[in-house]
This record gives sequence, structure tokens and C-alpha cells, in this order.
Amino acid sequence: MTLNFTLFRKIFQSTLFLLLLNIFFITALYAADGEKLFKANCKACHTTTSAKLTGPGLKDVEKRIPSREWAHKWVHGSQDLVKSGDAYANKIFQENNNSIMSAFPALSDADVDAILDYVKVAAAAAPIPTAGSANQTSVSDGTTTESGIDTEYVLMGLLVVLIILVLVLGGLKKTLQDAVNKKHGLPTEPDLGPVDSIKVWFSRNKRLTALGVIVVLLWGMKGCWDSLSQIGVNQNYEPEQPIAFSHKIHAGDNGIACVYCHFGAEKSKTAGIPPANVCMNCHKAITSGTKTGTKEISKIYASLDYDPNTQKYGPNKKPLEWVRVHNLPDFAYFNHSQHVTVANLECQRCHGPVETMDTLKQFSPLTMGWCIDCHRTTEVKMADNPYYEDFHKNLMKKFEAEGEPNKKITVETMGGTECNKCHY
Amino acid sequence: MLFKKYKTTAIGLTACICFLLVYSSCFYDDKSKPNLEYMPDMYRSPSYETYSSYQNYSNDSVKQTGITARTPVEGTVPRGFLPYPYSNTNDGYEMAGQNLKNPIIITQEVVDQGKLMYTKFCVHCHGDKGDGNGMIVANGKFPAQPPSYMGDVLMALPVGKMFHTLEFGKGMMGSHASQISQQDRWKIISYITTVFQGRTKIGEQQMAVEMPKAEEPKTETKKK
Repeated sequence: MTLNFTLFRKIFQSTLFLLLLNIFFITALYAADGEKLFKANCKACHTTTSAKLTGPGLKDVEKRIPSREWAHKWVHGSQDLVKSGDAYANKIFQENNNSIMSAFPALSDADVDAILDYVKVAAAAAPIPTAGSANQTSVSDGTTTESGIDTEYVLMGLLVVLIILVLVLGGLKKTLQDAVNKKHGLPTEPDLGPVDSIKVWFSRNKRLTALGVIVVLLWGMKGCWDSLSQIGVNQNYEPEQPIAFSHKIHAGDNGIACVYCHFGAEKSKTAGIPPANVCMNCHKAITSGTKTGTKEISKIYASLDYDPNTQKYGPNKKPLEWVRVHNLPDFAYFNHSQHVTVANLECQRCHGPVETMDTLKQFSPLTMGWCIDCHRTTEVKMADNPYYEDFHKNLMKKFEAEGEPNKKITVETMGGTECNKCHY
Repeated sequence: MLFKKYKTTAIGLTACICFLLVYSSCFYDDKSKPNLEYMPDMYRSPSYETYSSYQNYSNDSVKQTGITARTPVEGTVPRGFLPYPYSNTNDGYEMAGQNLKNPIIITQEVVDQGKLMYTKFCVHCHGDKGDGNGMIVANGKFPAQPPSYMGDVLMALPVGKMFHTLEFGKGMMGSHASQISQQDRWKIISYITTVFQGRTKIGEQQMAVEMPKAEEPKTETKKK
């Protein structure tokens, strides 16, 4: 009897175990399938959290919708449901700015159930609400404080220590000298005071003094010359911008093409500072930054008078006043399209490794010498460049007539260093 | 008396300190501010320059805001530009889908140019394979994954709706009207329907008569 009972219990336990395992696997299978379906069909507009994108976040969706049957109908054709006068369908249609959810007639009822199962699993797994939540705290203020002390301060400290040491040693030397003099019965040296003692030192070391004066003078003259030649040159100019925008994150880490935002570079004289509507192409969905949380991105919203919770724009727009970094003087003409589209130069050629800069700075000096240098050494890409087709033929004829058929064609050869190319 | 004694020394010391101060100010270099200019009146244009602010002009709105980039008069149409006839509503979207057709003949050149534009303006989200797995979607920064071009929904999407979406945006995608010219938008659409979806072929023409060719935005002519 006891044996029988144990056996029965064992069978019961293993059956239960198998049953549970089965259920687990079936759920997991459903969930996996649901994940695939969710990513392919729903993820463009919905999250599994409570964050709103185009449509509402799907966390706890089953607590809100009337039934799963309702969900089937909604997914197969949301507009039919809205037009049929269904109260909840009309409510959420209006809540989401009357944006129509695409119909998915290809999804079966089982598919929709699988998606709902997946949403439940995923919502439980990721409890962090990201986009769209207003009460989010910023992660940090974006400024990275570097640990360690500046070298300049270390050097200054050392200098101070050395001066104190020299003074102490000087005092010590004098005391000892006095002691020696006293012992030998000689008169002690008169106390001259600091200025006179320096004077005495100078008069005793005339050559050294002359040398020192010459060195200091030359050093000063060189410094003056250098600083004069830097007037009007803004290399490494790195102004603070109204938004702590990082080119490193956007162009470097995320690999966004330069012309996505600076779309004027290929067509116009100026590359263009992107208008805030270009920011919104991504930041309608990305409401929180990697480093700065909502602090910096909310400045874009403020500029456009945009409310991320209702996803609506208000009337009080105010342009962002970005600080211009690269600025040529008025007497020099420069055209981006000529360099980007015709010459096919990379942006980095002049602007440096922008994709590694957190704060943008001017990489090149933008002096005339710098322009001319490049115009003298850069060979023009004539092959497969329809812009120069006729010009190239004529130039080749001319070179052949001059007996130099393989002459290197630089920008200078084509008149790229003529004064009136840029100054007129 | 004391002053007389130290007069030369005092003058020398003062001179030294002044020299050092002037000298160090030459080198003081705050990179957050622009450097000195020789002749600002030759550096700064008296006429409006792109992205410059002007506070001293009589035009009232410029004076108030300092903004020289003016909004054109309402209803202004650039040369060679066809105003988009459909409205930014659900009805406009449906109408564009029914009536708007790709006006350009799909050639290899068009597809190549479309690809170039696609890699500059679309690839970040839609991915280089068109599967909606672009860089910023794959690295988890962009929460909304765009649907695949090869999926059922987009395979059946009329090109007119695609153009409408580029014009006004849809869902999480913003309007790209300010960035991509109409002509370039059709090139991108041609690339997508030909290469990713295979529902159009090279040499195909959707409209019987080609629309008047929109002029490519010209390279700005020289100032004088």
C-alpha cells in the first residue's frame, strides 16, 4: 500500500513536471514567434513599455482593451472598427491624433494572440519606461569632469617650492657666513635688503645678466610676432553651443551621413546649419539622450514649442541660435558645392575628424596660405567627372602642343590661385 | 628719500611686470571666443550674409529678432518647383496613393543616383538591405523599427503614398521635404521599388507623359 502510494506520487509528480515543462515551452515558443511578428509589424509604432511612439505603448494592453476578439478585429482593420461606432476604438483613435493604424489582414488570430503574449513577457522583462515619460531625471549634465590635476598647476607649485627653497638656502648661507666671520673676528657683511642684493648679484655677473636680457628679449619678440600672426586666425575655436550637441554620437557612433543634416553642402554655397525639424526626424522618437537625458533634447522641443507627451506643435517657435564656428571673412568667396560635388572632396579634408569631436572645433586655420597650399598640390579628378569633360579635352590639347602631355593638373593649373577666383 | 633710493629699481620692476602682463595677454587664449580681427569692417559684410545676425537695420522684424533668414511670402513657389497638391491628412494620403505616380523613367542611372541618396538619407533607419534594421535601430537608440520594404505592407504600398510619406512624414518618420528635392525623392523611390522590392524594372515608366522636368536646384551663382 505504501509502495503503491509512493509510486503513484512519483508518477503524479513527473506528469506534473512534464505538463509544466510543456506549458513553459509552448509559452516560450509563442513568445518567440510573437517577438518576430512584433518586430516585423508593430515595432514601427509601438513599444512593449508604456512609452508612446506613434501609437500607445503596449504595456498592460490587455487590461485596457475589451477582449482579445476586439484586438483581432482591430488589427485586421482598425478603421472598420472605428467606423462601426465601437466606443473604445473611437476613443483611442482620437487619443492618438487620428493617426490611422495600418490594417494587417495577413495576421491570423493566433498571430495576434502570439504578439499579445510576447508583449506581456517583454513588458515584464523591461520595466524601465524610456521615451515619452515626463518625469524623467537627467543622467548627468553632460560635462565630463576629468580627474587629476592640470600640469600647469603642478609646475606653478614646483616653482613656488623652488623659490622658497632658494630664499631659505640664501638665508642659511648668510647666517653661516656671519657665523664664520664672527669666529674669525671679521666684520659681518652689511644687510643689503632684497633689491640691493639682486643689484649686487647683477653687477658681479655682468655677462650672465647680458645673456639673460638678450634671451628674454628674443623670447618676447618671438612671442609678439607669433601672437600678431594669429590675429584673425581661429584654428581650434571651440565655442559653447546652445545645445550640447555631440558630433561624435551622431556622426561617429550612429554613423549618420554629414549631408543628412548639412544638406546644403552639395547644392549651395553654405553647408547649412540644420533646422530643428531635421532634429525631430529622430528626436520625435528619441526623447532621452545617452549622456544628458532629457536636458538637452528638451531644448529642441522648447525651440519648436513641441509637447512630447501630446506630440503636438505649438505656435511659439523660437529659433536656436547656434554659434557659427567656421567663418570666412567677407572678402573671400567660398562655395561648398564646388568643393563637395564637383571636386568630390570629403568633408573631413577641411573640417577634420568631426565624427570624433564631442564639441565641434575648427580644425583647419582657414588662412589664405592654407587654401593656396591645397590648390597647388591637389590633383583635379578629371576622369569620370562630367563637369570637366570639355575643359579637360581642351587642356590636354594645349599640353600636348606645349610638349607636356602628362602634365599633372592641379587646381592651380586651372587658374585656382588667380586672385579674382576668390577676391572680387 | 627712500623712494629716490629705489627709483630706478622700482621703474625697472614695474616695466618688467607690465611687459610680462602684456606678453602673457598675447598668449592668453580662450578657445571659446573668436580671435581678434585686423579690420572688422572688411571681415563683416554690410549686406545680409547667410546665418549672420544683424541688429542695426531699419527693417523692424530683422531689428527685433536679428534673423536675416527670412520666410518667403506665403504662396511663393521656387522656379522649377511643383507645389505638392495633396494635404497632410489621412484623405490626402489615400488620394496620393491613388493618383500620384512616379514621373521619372527608371533607368540604371536613376537607380544608381537613388542608391546614393538612399545611403545618405534613409539607410540609418531603413538599413542597407531595406529590412528596417539600420544602424540606429540595430544599436537600440531609435525605439521604432521601420517595417521592412519586403514585408507585406510595404510591398503593397503605392508609390504615391511613399512620396507622401517623404513629404509629410508618417508615424515616427519625419518629413524629409526640406532635405531632399522632389526629383531626388522619386529617384530614391525608384531605387527601393526596383532593387529591394523588384516590383518595378529598369526602363519602366509609370506615367504616360513625363511631368515637366523639375529643375535641379542650381548651384548658387556667384555674388556679382
